[in-house]
Amino acid sequence: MRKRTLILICLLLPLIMTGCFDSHEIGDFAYVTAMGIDQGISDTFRLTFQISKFSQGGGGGGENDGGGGEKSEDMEVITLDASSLLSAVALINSNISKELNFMHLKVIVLSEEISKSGKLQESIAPIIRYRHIRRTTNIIVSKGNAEEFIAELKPYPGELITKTLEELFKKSSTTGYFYHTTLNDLYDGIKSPYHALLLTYGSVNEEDKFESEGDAFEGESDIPGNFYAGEIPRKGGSKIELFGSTVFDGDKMVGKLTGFETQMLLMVRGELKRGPFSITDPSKPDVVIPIDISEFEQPEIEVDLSEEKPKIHVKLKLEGDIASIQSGIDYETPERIPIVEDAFEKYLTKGIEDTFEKCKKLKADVFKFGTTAVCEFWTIPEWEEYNWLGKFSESELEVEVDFTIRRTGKLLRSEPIYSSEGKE
Amino acid sequence: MLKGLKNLFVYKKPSEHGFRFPEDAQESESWNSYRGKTSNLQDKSESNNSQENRKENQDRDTERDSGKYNSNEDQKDKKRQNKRDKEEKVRIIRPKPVYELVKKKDSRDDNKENQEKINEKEDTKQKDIKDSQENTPESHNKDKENPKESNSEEESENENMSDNQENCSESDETQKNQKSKGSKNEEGEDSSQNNSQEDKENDIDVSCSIEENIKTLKDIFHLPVNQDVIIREFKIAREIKACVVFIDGMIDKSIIIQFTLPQLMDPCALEGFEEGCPIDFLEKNILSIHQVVRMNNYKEIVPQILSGLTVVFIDGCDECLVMESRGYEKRDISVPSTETVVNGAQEGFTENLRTNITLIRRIVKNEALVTEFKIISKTNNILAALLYMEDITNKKVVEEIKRRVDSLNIDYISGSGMLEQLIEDKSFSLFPQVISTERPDRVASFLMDGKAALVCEGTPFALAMPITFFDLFHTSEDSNLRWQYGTFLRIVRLIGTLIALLLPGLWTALILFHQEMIPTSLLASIVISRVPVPFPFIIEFILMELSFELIREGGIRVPGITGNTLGIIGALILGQSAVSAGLVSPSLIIIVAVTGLGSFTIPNYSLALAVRIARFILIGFGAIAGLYGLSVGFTIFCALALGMKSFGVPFFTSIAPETKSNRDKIVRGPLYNQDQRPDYLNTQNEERMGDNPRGWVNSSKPGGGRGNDQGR
Repeated sequence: MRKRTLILICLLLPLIMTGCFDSHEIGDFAYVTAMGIDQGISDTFRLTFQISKFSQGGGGGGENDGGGGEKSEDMEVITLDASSLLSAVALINSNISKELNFMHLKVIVLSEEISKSGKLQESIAPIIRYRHIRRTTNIIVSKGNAEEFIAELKPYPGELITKTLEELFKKSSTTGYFYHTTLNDLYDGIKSPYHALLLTYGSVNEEDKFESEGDAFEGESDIPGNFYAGEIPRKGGSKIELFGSTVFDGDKMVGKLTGFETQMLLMVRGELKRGPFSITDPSKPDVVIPIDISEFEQPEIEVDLSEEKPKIHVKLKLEGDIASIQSGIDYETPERIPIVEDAFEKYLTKGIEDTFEKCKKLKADVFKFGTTAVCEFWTIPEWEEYNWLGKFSESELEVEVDFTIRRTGKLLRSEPIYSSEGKE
Repeated sequence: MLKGLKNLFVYKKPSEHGFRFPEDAQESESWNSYRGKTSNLQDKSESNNSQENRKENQDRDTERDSGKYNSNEDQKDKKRQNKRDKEEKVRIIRPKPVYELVKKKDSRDDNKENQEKINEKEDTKQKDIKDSQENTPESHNKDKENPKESNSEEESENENMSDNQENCSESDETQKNQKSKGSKNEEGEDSSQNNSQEDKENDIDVSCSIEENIKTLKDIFHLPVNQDVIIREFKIAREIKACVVFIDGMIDKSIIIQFTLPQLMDPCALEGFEEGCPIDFLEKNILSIHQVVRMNNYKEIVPQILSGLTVVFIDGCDECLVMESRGYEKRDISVPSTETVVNGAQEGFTENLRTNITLIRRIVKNEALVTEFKIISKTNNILAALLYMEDITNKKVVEEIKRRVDSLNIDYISGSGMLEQLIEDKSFSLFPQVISTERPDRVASFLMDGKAALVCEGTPFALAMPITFFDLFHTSEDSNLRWQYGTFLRIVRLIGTLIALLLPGLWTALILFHQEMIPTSLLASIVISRVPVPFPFIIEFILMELSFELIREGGIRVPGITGNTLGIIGALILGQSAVSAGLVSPSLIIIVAVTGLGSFTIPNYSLALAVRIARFILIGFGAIAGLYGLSVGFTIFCALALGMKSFGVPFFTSIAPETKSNRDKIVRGPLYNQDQRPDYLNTQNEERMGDNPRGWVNSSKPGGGRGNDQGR
């Protein structure tokens, strides 16, 4: 019996040794939900922390609104200059009653300035080592200051900021207008010999593109989504916009892609689940035919390295529905469907080729063609010696799009408009 | 005097008492004799008497010494020992009084036991040669004591011997299983001595004189102080003095009023009777009672009176008639309250042993169902019955249960609950090792599986063993329902059990250590709800769990119909007001309530209690070291449970160690797929059904409905 007790004590002792020092009351923390990194003025970096207080307007028992709705006043934003994240945390901890906790950090915002200066390696890459921050934390490059961006980062009414952000990032795969990146992608993109880094591009929309007065719009519509974050002509709603993406060469930002270009890019990468497109009507150029692409097959990519210049062949296969026909022409008939299909195929081919050319100029393989090209090599050193990222700017692209219209919407047949003047 | 006593006597409702069945060989023999069974070995045993005695004595020596083997004994000593042994043998084969031989006849054992002894004789002879050389001083003392006793009181010595005989044969049987022979046997002998001392009190033979018998009875039952025992004196056919003795309340009065006294007191009762003792005449011609037995020793008679039989003493006879007349108040069969089912039998056990066995026998109508009776407590004489299927149950299991029950030496047992604690393998284990059930249909299915059951008077529960975790987890409803439904219920129960066991610990670990694992929106509501709470989380949690336990325990004690309602309402009100008072957070109340619900899904009350206790321990582990601590705690519990055995069967059998599970662990297969008895029981007959349990499915009869019935 004594022996048994001794063994039991020996077994339980290490358990006690671990102690409770890691134990914390859940309310002891200040949960940081967003963090911004800017170029510092009094120190290397200017760090901005958005702390969610999780407090309710009604207070107390929470009988009125059961959830955890937040108002903007429930957010606290602290900005300070420091040489590193750890020292910044220590500085803040000494000033507030709670302890900063990054376990629920949802987004890290980098200013465009710091991205272009090539300080990614110093500023953000080491954060991946930090135990409290998840690798799934989202990364945004903001057009202006990260500090300003975070100040405008407000939850959708009645929601938590984290929930708002989570839902927002999910839109990436359904619209394709921006690319959703995480801390892990960032680290991988910087260090990878296969592809270049692509980050979400975000901005505060100052509503300056929205013209409340002026002449009526005339002429051809632009390609939808062919602009950058902060340029959407809109008013109201959240001031934050995620649109387009930024392209990096190594750890230095070299350019940015519009929403439309990002769409094309994601399509080639096979990361788009569905997406809205619109093409100008082949018969009436002043109106558009919106097309909802609902099914993407995984693109077939072939890379031919036999010649001096790499030759890339991309084959896309998509299916979609016609959302509307503004011109009223009956494209639904079996004879006319191919007209729309051909027009859309050409539209996509051009879009992809343009995007490719742009990336070629930026010398950044954001298409991830490198992952296919690497299959041509037997060993990693051979591959690394080949320097794909360098050769990418010399490559040539051949695109083949196969588009099929599955359904024509709820209308089976378009009928002309009848007026007092008769059939149109 | 007696009339006065009767007048004084106020009728009281007797407490429930069970059927008193023959306990030892002597009794069973006497029962057998009135049942008309005669034994073939009767003569043989008489002739073997001296031989047996000799053998027994040797046996006793063997056991006493076998544990104390000492190879360094001197040669001389050995010789001396041999001499002494021979002397002893001679001493014990002394002639006996005649009545002693008669008694021997009664105390003769069953055929089997005799057979065993004959077999063992050869073994013991061989051992004797060894053992005789190894006598130790202690055994000398023992030997010296015996003759002293025999000189002073021959009767008691003989009793002692017969007890020893039992002990010896018993321990011989179990020798293979025992490693600590020496100590065990010493204990056995001590107990036998105690018994013999106690027995001395009532070990008086029935006298020929009725006055003397009445005096003895009054002495034994402490009359007239004790007013329960009634001695009714009368004259048989106005000639022979006689009396009936019984305990009021324990008997069926009509037996005495209608079938005993009228017949005996009829003036013509002794017509045709000639000279001598009328007892035989009366038993065979006059008394119209279904069970009558003759006895001649108060040691046997007294327990019979105590269990509700009526005894007739007749002047001039040194025997008395013991008549079956039990008829006391007992509870009716009712719906089992702790194991209610929707679909299935609605009969539960009662406190009456005979009723309970009848309930089981009504389900298992088979001649192979064997019921063995045994008095398990010394003073309150509680009777227990061991049930098993002779042709299915593993004999070793039955032997082991018998060994444990026989060895009990305890004054008071109130029922199966106490018996369970006395025979279980590990008293310190948290989990039950014997299943206690209120349902006869469950016991019947256990018996048919090849388990053994112990039914004990006093509580409406039967014990079944050996068991595994999964038996505690099943209900009788599972097999009554179609297998899909049964499986679903079991999965729900499994989830409930896991929630009840792990959720509180998990919650503690998450809140205190792993805030990153909580989804942010959940974290937000927890943080908000905890704002007004002044206590640290762990205090708050334990406070809440404890008050829930208080409600559960208090709810049982609340009298009457209000009990259940008060429990639920009380919990709701308490929770609500605790939240508004800012003492606990609402999220915690949900956790505690779900945990409570989970623990209610566990069908076995013992297992549910174990889980309730384990829950607190796991909260502690979770609070000390988070998920790591929780997993350590859970591992410890698993290890303890896996290392546990119930009558030789590991607790988690059919998972670890892996055996054929017969599709009856958590997921239950269709009935016809469960074609074998549990593998771990090593039953004598493993097949539960034929090769084609549903004969119609594969019947090749043309037009036999194959096409129609199978729905193809």
